[in-house]
Amino acid sequence: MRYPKLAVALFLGAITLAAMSCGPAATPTPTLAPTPTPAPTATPTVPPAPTATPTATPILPTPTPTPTLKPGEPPKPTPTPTPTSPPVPTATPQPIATPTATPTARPIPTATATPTQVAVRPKGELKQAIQSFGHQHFDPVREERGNSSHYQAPIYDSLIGSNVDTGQMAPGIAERWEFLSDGLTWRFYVRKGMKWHNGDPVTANDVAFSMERFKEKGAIAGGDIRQYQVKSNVIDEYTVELKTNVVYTYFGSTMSRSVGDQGTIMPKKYIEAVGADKFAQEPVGNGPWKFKKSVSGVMVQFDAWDQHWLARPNYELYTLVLIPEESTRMAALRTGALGIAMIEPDSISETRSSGMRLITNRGTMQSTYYIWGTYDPRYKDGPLANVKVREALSLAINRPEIVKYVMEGEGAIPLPYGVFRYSLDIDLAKWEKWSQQAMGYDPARAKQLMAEAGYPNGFKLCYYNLALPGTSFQIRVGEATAGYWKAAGIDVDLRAIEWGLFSPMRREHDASSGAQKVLSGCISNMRSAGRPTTLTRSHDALTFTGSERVAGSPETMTAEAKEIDRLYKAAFAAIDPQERARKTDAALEYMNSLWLIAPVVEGANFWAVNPKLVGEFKGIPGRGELADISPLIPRPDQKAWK
Amino acid sequence: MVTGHERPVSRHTLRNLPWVPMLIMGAVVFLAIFAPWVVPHDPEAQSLPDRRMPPFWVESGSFRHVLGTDSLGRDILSRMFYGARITALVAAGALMLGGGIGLTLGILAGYLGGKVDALVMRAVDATMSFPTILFALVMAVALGPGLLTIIVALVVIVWASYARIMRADVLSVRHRDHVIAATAIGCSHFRIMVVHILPMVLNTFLVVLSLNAGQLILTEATLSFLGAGVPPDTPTWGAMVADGRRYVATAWWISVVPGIAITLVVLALNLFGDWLRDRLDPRLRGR
Amino acid sequence: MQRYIMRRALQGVVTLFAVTLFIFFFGRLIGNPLDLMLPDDATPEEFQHATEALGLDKPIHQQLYMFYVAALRGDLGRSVRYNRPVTQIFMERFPNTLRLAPVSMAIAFALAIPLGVLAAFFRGRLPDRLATLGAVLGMAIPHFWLGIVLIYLFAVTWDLLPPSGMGGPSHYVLPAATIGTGYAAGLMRLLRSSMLEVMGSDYVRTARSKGLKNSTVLLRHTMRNAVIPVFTLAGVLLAHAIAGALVTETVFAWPGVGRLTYEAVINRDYPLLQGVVMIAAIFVLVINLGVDVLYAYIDPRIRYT
Repeated sequence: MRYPKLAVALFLGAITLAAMSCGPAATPTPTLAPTPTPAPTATPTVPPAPTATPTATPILPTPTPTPTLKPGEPPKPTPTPTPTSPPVPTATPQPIATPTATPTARPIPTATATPTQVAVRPKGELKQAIQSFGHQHFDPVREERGNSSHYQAPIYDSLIGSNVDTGQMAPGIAERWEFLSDGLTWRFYVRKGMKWHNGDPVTANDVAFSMERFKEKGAIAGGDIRQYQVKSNVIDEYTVELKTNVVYTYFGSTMSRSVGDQGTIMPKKYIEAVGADKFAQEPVGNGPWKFKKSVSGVMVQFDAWDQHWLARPNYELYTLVLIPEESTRMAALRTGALGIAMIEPDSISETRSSGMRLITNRGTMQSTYYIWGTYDPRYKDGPLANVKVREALSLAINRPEIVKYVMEGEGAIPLPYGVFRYSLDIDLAKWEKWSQQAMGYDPARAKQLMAEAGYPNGFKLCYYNLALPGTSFQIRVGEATAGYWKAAGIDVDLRAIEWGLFSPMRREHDASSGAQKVLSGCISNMRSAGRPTTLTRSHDALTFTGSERVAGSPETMTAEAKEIDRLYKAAFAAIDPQERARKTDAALEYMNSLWLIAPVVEGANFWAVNPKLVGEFKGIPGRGELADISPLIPRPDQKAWK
Repeated sequence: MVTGHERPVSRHTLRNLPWVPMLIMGAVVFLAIFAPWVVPHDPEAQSLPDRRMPPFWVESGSFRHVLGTDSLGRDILSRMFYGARITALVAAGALMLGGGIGLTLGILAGYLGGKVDALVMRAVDATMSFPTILFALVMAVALGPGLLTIIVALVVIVWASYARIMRADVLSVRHRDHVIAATAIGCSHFRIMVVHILPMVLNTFLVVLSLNAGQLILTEATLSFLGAGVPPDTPTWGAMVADGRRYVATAWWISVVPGIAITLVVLALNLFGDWLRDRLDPRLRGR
Repeated sequence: MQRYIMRRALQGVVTLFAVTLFIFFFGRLIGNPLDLMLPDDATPEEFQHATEALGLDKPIHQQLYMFYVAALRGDLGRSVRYNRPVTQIFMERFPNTLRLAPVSMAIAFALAIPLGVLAAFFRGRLPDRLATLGAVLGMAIPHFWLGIVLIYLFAVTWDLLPPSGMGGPSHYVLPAATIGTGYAAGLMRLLRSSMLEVMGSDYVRTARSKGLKNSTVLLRHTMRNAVIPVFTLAGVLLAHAIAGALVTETVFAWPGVGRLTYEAVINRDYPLLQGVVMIAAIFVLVINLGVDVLYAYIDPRIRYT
């Protein structure tokens, strides 16, 4: 709207440049020319999406045995693998699972020089508004995932990437990886031929260096790397082994963008040359976008980089702007000042009615509730300590209505707590079935259960209604939940509280019982972030070692706490994927039966798109941000909305 | 054309009463008191399928929800009535408390002077040099959402200006003859302040009070907008406007209806305050 | 005069001390910055680690002492969230707030002066009533709501002005108008009453009795004296530009100090909050003093001792 001349100039310039600089076979048309890969089967106007490349898209096989798993191999972990780290890379531990597809399926040619001369030049500006910039800091060790992904993920690649179609793991800096049979060591094969934005090659040394950075004192991100005392061992330029101190079968996954930011790899040579401060101001990564500039509290801007191994942006510029107020974001989108705007479910109806398009990143979170301190002596005889009452509470919630009206039809009935459609190590069919039954709306049965428990006329319930940062619709979910409970005859004392005040209350434990001082005997909203690693969130919430300790504290060792501890430990320690899946399902089953934590709705993150400025694309499941898909977002002239 | 500014005050008081503002305020007070008996629906009863229903005169609106419903399908009219009650409670509570503190400290500072005066005035300066809305925001966040929180936050905002105005007023009356006389015959400080000074400054107080009430209602709305207001299920007009702002383009009535109510009441309070000022305290006209 | 300024400056220091003390303690009552920095499932170990990494594990009196010692050297510490010096962040944003202020003030005056004069001139009659009504309306509409409605009208529906952000002159119109209408109400009412007061004074009567034209009396004699209190109020409003812009800056995504302060509260960024509040308080105190001193020069009747 406001940049017509600029757009025309860029367009003409792009064509001229293409005509001048391309080789003999160059096609100066703005439509897609053949990519380096052999004859793409996709529709001609689609840019080379990673998944459009040969059929062997490296989707992470979940519980199914991987083809590389040798049948005759000793399947179970030997208790004493190799005590001292062997210097020979091909030592005893053998790969027991190769989560990636076979190396030959690698879509990207290793030679970079000529083929990456992209035939379609990026042009125009992709302008996207978000609600908060977090720290607006570009050193990955300084900030945990959350807002930072919006502006860090475009610049940096992760050791393991994520599959933009499924939300599961996919090759990243490591083109493949292996979990060795000692249960501790992960071997990563770094893709050859990758470059940092300053031209240096990406090597295994960068991986080792990044792990060390996460262990430095000032680091905020990288909790797992510190907790499991990860040691790195560079085998050669392109092979590196990372070893945890105890068995942590999810460690590999935590190196993926699908789970967090700890796998972010930083340039060793550059950081050592310029220092951390300069690095934070002029970051160098190897992602599809190059850092251009950052104005505090206003915007972050990136230039397209055409040397990325996977994705080459369709836009020349990628600008993230900060607009805190949602109504303003929506207005700016409609005027064409923006191409994409982050929205909450509140604005979905306006998005639809104003001709904008909606992108739903599904399964990014579950809005849940916790029942706190049921084992606290003060509340041990209260209604919430009765499992029938807890089940009744869940049955009294009309989840389909919440999905339809609060989430505007864009949410989903949840799977068990912390489980998503892309989760690893689960029997998805089983839990889909469970979800249909257990998450259904059955007020009659709820009434009956409450009567059986001795509360036919309800009881008084304190309920903390809150939203976690970034998903303010949880307030409405909470209000609706309270409404259903009131309708079931429960006298709900609804207490609104803000996350910043609520969160510390989780850590204020009573000295004798170990339960939460204030929260015990109450219910509160909580959230499970959408991550493929299944048990991690519920483990933190339910085991007595965490700070939430919903099932029991170290001081009050309930039978439930002990059983949960046993089940979780077994699942986490299972190195064989099939066994892990079985034990994960068992742990989930027990956890579900307690009704201490119940998901209310599977939430999503929403983006409104102005179809005049941005072409059609889909969001990444489980990922709130659009960073990883951003280089693949087409212009409207490449793929118009239907 | 331009006449002198002293207009003879009419003896026909009734005719000169500010009828419109008084009617508006009367209606609010009536609703505040009788809300439970006049509401058509339970203000907290949600019905998700009926959410964002327009008022009756808009297409697809119905008389079941005369002014439409909000984002959870709650009846706006009923929430407006209850909102009148809570809004009035918040504004009145904050005014009485904040005004009371300001009045007391102002009289103390103005009458006693010296160290008390210095102390109070430094506190006033400190409060007034603080960005007021930020002050309230910090308080509201620290205490967590709730009616009491809002009242406290608003008190923190208003007390200083009362203290300052009342002190100035006390300074102008404390050298009047009857005060000096009272001192001469040995009345206690307390007695002088309560019996001789308070009545003299009460007029100013009432005028400032009435002019300030509207301000408080707006501040309450602003705090709700900033996410530090009353709990979301509590119907205050300010919170309703803040909640409805997301639907300005699709369901305007959610914010416009309470917005109009706020505007009317603030308007009425101001006009009433103007009238009161003209009647009671011609000196304040310059303020 | 010098003694007066000295005394006021001294009082200012005391005030500043009170303000910072308040924000230091109350700022810490509102929670912990880490809860908004770390993921919601952060382990107790991660919390401990981050607390130490950010220096928040030191005893509170030590933190307070360090804050004052550093502040005397002009160092307001590092923002927890942005990991940058507070002064640096503040100075990046402050010009933006300052740029908006004169435009808002101009809009306020453009509305207030004609309306105020009109109202005073036609006291008690229809124009007065309408002007007062208009002014009170400007005051009675919540700013955030007005801002959003203006955006939808002028940017979305009529496509006349940009909806948000900073840029060319057109970007200033909507946020400045939103702030300005709020100011205008107060200014207009003050101008009206101050004009009425001046119009009743002896020298205006004298001027009129000399047979001068109404317009001459109005402009030469009345206006000039009536605007003094109005400018005082304008000074006060300007001094509170930071707080006054908090809501508007949030609505219009204007990268000023107001929004920075708001974010500091929401993120529990203690050093940033302390720093911003301290600078804002200094700003208010200095402007108030400046206005008072200026007042003494403009109005020869006022003499401070």
